[in-house]
Amino acid sequence: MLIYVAKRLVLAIAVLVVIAFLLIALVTVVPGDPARTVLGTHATPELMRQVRQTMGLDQPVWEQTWNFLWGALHGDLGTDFITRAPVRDELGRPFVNTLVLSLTSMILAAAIGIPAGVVSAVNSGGVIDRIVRAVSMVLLSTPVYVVGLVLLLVLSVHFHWLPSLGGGSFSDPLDYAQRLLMPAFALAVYWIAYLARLVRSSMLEVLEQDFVRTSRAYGVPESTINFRVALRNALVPIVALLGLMLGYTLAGTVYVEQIFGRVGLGSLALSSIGNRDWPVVRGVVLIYAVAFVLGSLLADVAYRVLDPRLRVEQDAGVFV
Amino acid sequence: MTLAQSAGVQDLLRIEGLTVSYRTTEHERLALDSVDLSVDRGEIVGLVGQSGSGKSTLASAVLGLLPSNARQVSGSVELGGVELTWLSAQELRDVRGQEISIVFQDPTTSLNPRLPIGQQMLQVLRAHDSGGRTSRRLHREKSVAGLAEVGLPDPLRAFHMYPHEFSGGMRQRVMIAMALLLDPRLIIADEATSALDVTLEAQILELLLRLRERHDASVLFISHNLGVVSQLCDRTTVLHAGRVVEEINGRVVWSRCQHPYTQSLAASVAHRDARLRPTPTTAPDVDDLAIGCRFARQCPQAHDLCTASTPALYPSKGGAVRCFAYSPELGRDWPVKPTVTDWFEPDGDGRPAPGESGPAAAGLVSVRDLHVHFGERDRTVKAVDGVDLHIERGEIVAVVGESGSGKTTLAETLVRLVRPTGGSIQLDGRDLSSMTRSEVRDVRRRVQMVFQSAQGSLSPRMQVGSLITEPYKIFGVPKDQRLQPDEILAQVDLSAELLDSYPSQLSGGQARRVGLARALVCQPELLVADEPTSGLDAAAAATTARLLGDLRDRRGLAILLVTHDLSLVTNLADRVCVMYFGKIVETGPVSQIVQTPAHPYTKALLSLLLDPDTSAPVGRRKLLAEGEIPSQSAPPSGCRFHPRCPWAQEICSVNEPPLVAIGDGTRSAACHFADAVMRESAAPEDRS
Repeated sequence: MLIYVAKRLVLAIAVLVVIAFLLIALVTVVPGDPARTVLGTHATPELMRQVRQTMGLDQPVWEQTWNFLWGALHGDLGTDFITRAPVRDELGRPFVNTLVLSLTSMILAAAIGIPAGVVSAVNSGGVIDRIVRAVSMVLLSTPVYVVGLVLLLVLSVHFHWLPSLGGGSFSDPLDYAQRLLMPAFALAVYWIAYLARLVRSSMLEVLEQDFVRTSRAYGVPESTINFRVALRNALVPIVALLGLMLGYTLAGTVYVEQIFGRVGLGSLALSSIGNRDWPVVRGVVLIYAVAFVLGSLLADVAYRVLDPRLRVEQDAGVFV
Repeated sequence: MTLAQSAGVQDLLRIEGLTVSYRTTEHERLALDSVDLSVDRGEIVGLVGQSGSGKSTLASAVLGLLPSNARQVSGSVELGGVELTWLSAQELRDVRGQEISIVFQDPTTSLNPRLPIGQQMLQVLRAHDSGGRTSRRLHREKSVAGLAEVGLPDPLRAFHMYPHEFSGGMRQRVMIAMALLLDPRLIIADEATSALDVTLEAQILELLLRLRERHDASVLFISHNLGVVSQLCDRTTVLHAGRVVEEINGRVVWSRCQHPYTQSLAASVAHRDARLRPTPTTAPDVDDLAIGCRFARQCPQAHDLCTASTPALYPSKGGAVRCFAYSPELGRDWPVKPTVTDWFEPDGDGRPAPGESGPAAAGLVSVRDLHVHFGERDRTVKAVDGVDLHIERGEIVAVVGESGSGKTTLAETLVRLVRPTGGSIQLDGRDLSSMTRSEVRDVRRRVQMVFQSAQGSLSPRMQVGSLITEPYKIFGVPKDQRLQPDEILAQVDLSAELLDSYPSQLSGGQARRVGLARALVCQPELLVADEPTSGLDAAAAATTARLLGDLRDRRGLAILLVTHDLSLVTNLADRVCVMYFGKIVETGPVSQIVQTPAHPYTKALLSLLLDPDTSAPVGRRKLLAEGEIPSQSAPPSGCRFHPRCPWAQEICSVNEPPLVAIGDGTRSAACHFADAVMRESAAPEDRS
């Protein structure tokens, strides 16, 4: 198990190195010279060269990659072209906001999606099942910005129940929580539907298995079969999915933060791309990348922990 | 208690006129048609029939577990005088596990893979402990005692282990322990030994017999194999297409099999070649209550009357038969009474002698000193440990051995699914390890494998049509050289109707043949068939075996047959290699080895072969040797068979005997006492 985790970690680090390289290489490929962004259109070639030198743009790509990674490892992500502040400090607040938003939406998704899937599977073919399936189909095909706008229109503009724009601050927790509710839900809607459908099909698949028939044939009550036997087995792929969801919900915040006017990584990414503010873009993308890699690493490890058959390598093997 | 009541109590399970139908999209099909069956206290009753005969439906009906598209049309199921069909869901739940328990065919899928077996047993105990009166500790003790009773070596440890950590035989023991947990009055064994090899089967049957005595339970033993049923059942009911066609009182012996269908089953136990055509795949429509005998279309003795009128169950000398040949009025004039021997294939039908395929018959495959070891250092498992093997073109070579002998690993190494850790494999004189990537690709086409688990090896999301043509795409066969999908299916005797089906819609035999079609489509030179008939009922197994023989005769295909089924080997193979514990202990022409085995292990395996003697039981219960195969990671010293060998002397535990040529030089054996064993085998009276 430890060997497995170690192997996966090495792989994860390799992925991050490749991503860092691509991030640096991207700047040379995308039109628009960063030095021109800093200096404006009327800079002299002399000045341009000087700035490029201080920004390290004259070095080969691999060397820039190395410097970037080495810096990132020491908590230095470079300097913002425009504000001249360290990127690390610029990312701090938005990162926390976005992380809270992602995690809240994941919790919402699991708390609503999984029970909906269970109810649907247990009443397979019944009225509740049909409703869950129809609603989840509609929600799955509705883009997050539509959900967000509809929520905004109904709950804020029409009923005035929830504050519409802005993220609030930690100093007023109640306000912060109120402002979190709508964006988190908008982000969660897709995953609620996704989880409901996945839990349903996963559970129905388990309920078809021979060992469920065994439990029935031995008089085990239906409630035990549904929850202790079927759900337990059906949740394995879902727990693994939660790891991947971390990356996807983080990425999804780009829309949500824009719609609800929140300060966060997503909105920061959008504005810095517009400004050709490469160090900030790099910092944001690196965080997304780490989230994805970490999420899939957790997913793989969770799979091993939850399925005893995959743990064989450490035990003595078959018992004869 | 009145007289009538006490008489009724004699029968523990009484099924009367049970009729069950399945609803499909268009039809309602009869799975069981007025079936009567009873099981007395302490009795073992066999229920025999091919797949599709309705025997599993009967088990489900008794437990009240019919699937949602099934309907019990009429009839009654009584357990100890209580009508089960009238019970409420809650009352039925109490009966299950407590009064009636069941052992299913496949212990691998029938146990929850993500729960230690102890927890699964506790779940059952808790389900029948209303109000939670018994403490958790007592439940635990009861489970551990149950595990000990079925012969698990370390029950306390086993309690905490997951199903996948047990071998197949041990897993079935766990299932049996679970079945006995609440001391049920009736145990239904639904194909309980069909997924196990001969040795394990014999052990499980032994266990069932012993436990029946101790627990005073009755057993309803359901199987497709008449041979197995004959080994332990007091009475036997034969089911065909939902109808009882024969009831046999007492042990099933050859002379007691009277119905032509029963006889065909008996014949196929001994001779896989017996010409048994598969039963029609569709059960009769419920509305069209078929007139006539349902076996008539396959019956060699059928007359016009058989299709015009339905025979009743006529009492006969050993029970009852549903066949006009035994009817009191008509039977006297019936021209020929069916006999078992009618079902044997006549001998001498142009099967080419081995090596007949001409002088060009150069060695196709040559394996030298092959080693396949798994694991590292102190936990090494030597699955294959120094094996030499030679296969000519057009030759069928069988590799036999118990499960765990390394025969499947050997097969998988030949198709490069497993990499050898030592030794060489040559195909047409070229060493596989020295081949370039494109040459290896070509080898993959020339050497194809048919897998043991037929359903599992086919992608569940692909239709048969795409499954069988996929190899064309993989190996880039030009369009003009490709066969049409229906032609490919015709080669394996399947109809083109199946092209749009998914693997889950196929029967076991059909899935196996689709796997075979897939393997054959790119004209391989060597076919590696891993247990091609295991898990198939007699008819499907016979068809598959005949198909393999045909392929060799028509195409000169070489086949490596990996199996534990010795009757298949004697009917099909030219040469045989007997494997024990990663090594070949005896090899040579099948005919010679069957007659005079020179290794005690071969002799033991052969003693399990069923003996077609008309007065003997159809199959006899014998144990190969005590115990299962010993631990893989700590093999015995010297000759690896010596702890189980009746001939073993001191030398056997010290020196490992080499594989040396014996007799006329065409065969060899690895035993210090090979000559003595062979002499004794040749002598008329047997030591056993």
